[in-house]
Amino acid sequence: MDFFFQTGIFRVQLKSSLPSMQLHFEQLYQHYSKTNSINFIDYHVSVSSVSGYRRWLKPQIQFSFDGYEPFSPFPIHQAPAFFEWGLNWCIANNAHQYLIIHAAIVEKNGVGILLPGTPGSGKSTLCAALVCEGWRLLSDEMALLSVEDELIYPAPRPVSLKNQSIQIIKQFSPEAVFGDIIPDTTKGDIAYMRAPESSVLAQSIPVKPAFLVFPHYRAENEPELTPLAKSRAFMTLAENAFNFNILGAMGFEAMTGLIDKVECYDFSYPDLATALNGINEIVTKHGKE
Amino acid sequence: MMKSPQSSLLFHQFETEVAVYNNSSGALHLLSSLGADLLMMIQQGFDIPSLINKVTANNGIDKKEAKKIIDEFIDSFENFELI
Repeated sequence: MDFFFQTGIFRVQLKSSLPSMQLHFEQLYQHYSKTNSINFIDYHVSVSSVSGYRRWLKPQIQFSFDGYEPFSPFPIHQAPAFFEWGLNWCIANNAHQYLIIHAAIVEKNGVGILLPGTPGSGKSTLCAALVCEGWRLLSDEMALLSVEDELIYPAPRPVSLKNQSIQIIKQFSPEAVFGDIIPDTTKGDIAYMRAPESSVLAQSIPVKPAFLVFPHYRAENEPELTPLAKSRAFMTLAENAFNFNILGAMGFEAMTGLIDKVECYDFSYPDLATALNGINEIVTKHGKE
Repeated sequence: MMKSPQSSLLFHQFETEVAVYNNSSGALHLLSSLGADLLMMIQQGFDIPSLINKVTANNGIDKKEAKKIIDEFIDSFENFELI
């Protein structure tokens, strides 16, 4: 079975006969424009069962991109996660018209907030909560900074949540639509939250980022919002870029241009309510909401 | 963004610090403004007395101390293959 969809500028064709992939698309990709009437596809990918005797003992799946298999097989129950990770890999390794930063990016009233994060920082949880509060989702995983115009371009896809974050967001926003929980991945339990239809419909509209906020979830700490020196923000963000060195001077120029234009903060927060208050404080304080 | 005239180094000033990108090696460095000024002067071929004048002019220290600071900078620049 073929699935077509467009996220941002990327047109994707997925071949898969797995029922879990069909369900994944029905649950989470129903708002996307289906590009099967368009000849040009950026990424031809497939998620399919691995053949051989092993499939009877421990069924596995393989991800392929243009016939190339960049990863070792995964257990079959992880198919939707494998697809999402594989597509991230395709974009990170090919879309070099952008400086690709490992960060969530959301926008409201023209104000873009970039949320880079290491694992455990709470980036995706905070991103999901902001999206549930009406912020537009551009991406929960990869900010695509154009080296041409220094705007960030959307590629909204389901938000990946892990472990306790799944229940936190389900309680925070009972109307949010989730796919099935995928247990026992290398990242723990994973569930994907559907991107809002409004974000998908606005996926051709880029954003000029205004704030760069490094979130740090620390349950035991008091909330702390600290302005961050641009030089330090730059160095940290460069470490979070997938293709900084591939772009070389263009990447340096794009990232320094970005840092010059945004206000930078370190933000430690103990819970989601505090986090949302902190983000609102940043935006309100600067008269941009 | 400033480009060093004789190398593949790119400079960008952020407040009191300067990001330096080595386009040949892909390495990224963060220098003080003084360090970046000295690096650019070395790249441009300025001699040691000129570097000493640069350090003493803005920092209220004597030439002997300035020479020591410059030597330390030069060691660091060499270690990081910036010169």
